[in-house]
Amino acid sequence: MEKVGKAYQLDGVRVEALRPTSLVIGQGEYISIMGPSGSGKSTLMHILGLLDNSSDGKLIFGGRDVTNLSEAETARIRNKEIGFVFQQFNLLPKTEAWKNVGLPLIYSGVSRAERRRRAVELLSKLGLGERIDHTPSQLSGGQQQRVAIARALINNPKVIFADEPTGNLDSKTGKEIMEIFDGLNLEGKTVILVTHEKEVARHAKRHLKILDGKVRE
Amino acid sequence: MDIISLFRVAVSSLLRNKSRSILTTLGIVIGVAAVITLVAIGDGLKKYVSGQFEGLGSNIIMVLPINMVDEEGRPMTLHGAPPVGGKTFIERDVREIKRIHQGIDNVIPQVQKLMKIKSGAKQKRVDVVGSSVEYQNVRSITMADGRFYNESEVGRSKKVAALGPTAARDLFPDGNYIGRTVYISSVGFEVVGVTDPRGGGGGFSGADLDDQIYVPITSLQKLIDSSGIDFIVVKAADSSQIEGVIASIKAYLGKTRNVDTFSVVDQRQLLGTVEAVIGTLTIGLSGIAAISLLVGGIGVMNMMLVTVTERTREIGLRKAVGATPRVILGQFLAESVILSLTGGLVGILIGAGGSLIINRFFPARISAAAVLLAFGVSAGVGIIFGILPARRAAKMSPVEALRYE
Repeated sequence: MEKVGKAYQLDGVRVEALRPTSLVIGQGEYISIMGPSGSGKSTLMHILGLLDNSSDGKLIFGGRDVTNLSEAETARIRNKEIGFVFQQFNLLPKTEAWKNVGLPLIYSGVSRAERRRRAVELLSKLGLGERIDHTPSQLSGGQQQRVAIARALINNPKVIFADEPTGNLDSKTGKEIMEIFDGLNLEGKTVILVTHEKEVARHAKRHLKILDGKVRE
Repeated sequence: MDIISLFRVAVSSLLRNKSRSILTTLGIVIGVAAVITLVAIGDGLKKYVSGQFEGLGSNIIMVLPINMVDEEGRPMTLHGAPPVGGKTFIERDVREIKRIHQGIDNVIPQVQKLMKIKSGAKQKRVDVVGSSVEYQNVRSITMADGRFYNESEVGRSKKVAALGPTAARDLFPDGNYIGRTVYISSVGFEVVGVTDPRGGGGGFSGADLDDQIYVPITSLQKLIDSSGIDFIVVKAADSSQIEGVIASIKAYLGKTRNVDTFSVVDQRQLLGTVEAVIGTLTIGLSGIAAISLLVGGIGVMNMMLVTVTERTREIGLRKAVGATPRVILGQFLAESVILSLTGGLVGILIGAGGSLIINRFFPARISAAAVLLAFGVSAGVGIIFGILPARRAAKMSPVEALRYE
């Protein structure tokens, strides 16, 4: 799998959040994107993760040109091939853990029973076998993030994007979470971390630095 | 994503905010219940009135000295008989009309006045109907007790009276009336009989058909010192003759009167005009009720707009994990449709229950059409008022939605 990203981002008054950039990311890479806040690292992640359109340039995902796909088509790719983990977890409130994990499967037309079966299996693997029916407010931060990771993994995607995954966690829990990402990379998944913490970035094997929209290896 | 899981997701989203969902639904409940109840009252009234008209007897044509309907057959006045100030008919009109068409079975003159009636201690205002002997036959009156007045009593202006059951009960609570005397404007009339009930009320003049007193026309004319006839009732031999009879009566009367000073109408026409009035009234009233439904719909839209803003991050997340704009649109549309349909169903139940209760005091009738209409309208309200918030949700950019605080 390879990606070529090259983008102008304009935000009303043509703010260049991301300067023209060319990148190739191979399958199974473990990449960190580092930079101070406002440097454009989230923008880069959003474009690579097909959440946002680049205003310019060309984006190839898995050998397919995805630059000008409709939102419905990119939604399908995100659903099947990309997993997201966010700093704020972004779990549905008042909704049981297994339902949160199974959410992407709703959009790929998987039956409720099958959703539950797969969610339970994945949650057990991440050490949350006892918390299947708990709602986010009944879970600790680390547990919530693990539910979010399970949700990112449920459709067995090729790429995992993690945007400051440890930002809301204490350092011990953060380390546990990072170990999960390490394991996923060992299993052959491409992991792309967006962070401003060196500690976190150290887990990755390839490091990208971004400053004022400019990307450097 | 199939419809069932779409609705399941929508329901669980609504249940996450129960009290707000219930309050929003309440607006629709009130609107639909009001529409159902008012339409039921209108329908019930219509059916009741037409029942009353059928009770008058069949193939009846009314000749009235007022212009009741305009050229299009719409009602001009609705106070009905007895006409005030109009030029009444005379004895000769009755005799002439009897001869002008072979389809005429019977012609009876009628004088009708609301008068003060006394019997011993009791006193009330009752419609006094003066007519000929044939009145009993034409109006299909049967006797519960005693007899109707007879030919010779009409000829000799005898002061005899037959009472409707309501009048009889009110004037003689002891049930003992035959041979007793009722005083009509202080003139004594001997009670000779009581009729069977003919129906609760709302007859031709809007009066209770059972709350009447029948006396020979000659006696009543003498009593009020006028030989005029308030209206003429014509009975056609059968329904196919009605058109011809009406035409020839109109032609006859047109010779001596202006066309806009009388009307010749059969029951159906009369019924039609009354029904038209009730129908207009019903539409007007349910129109007002529909405004509350509209307000309810705006409530739904308001709540959905709030919901969409509140759940911006959720929308962003759903999009990030693969929800297409159409799925998001469908989900929020499903939520508003579920809200308004639930409101519609509850409203129909409450409206139906309310109509049943009202029916104890006032005719009300729930029609399947009204129920279907209310159901359709509430679904429509959900879609119309849900589309704007749902589109707003569907159009959100996932990045901005996820960033929303």
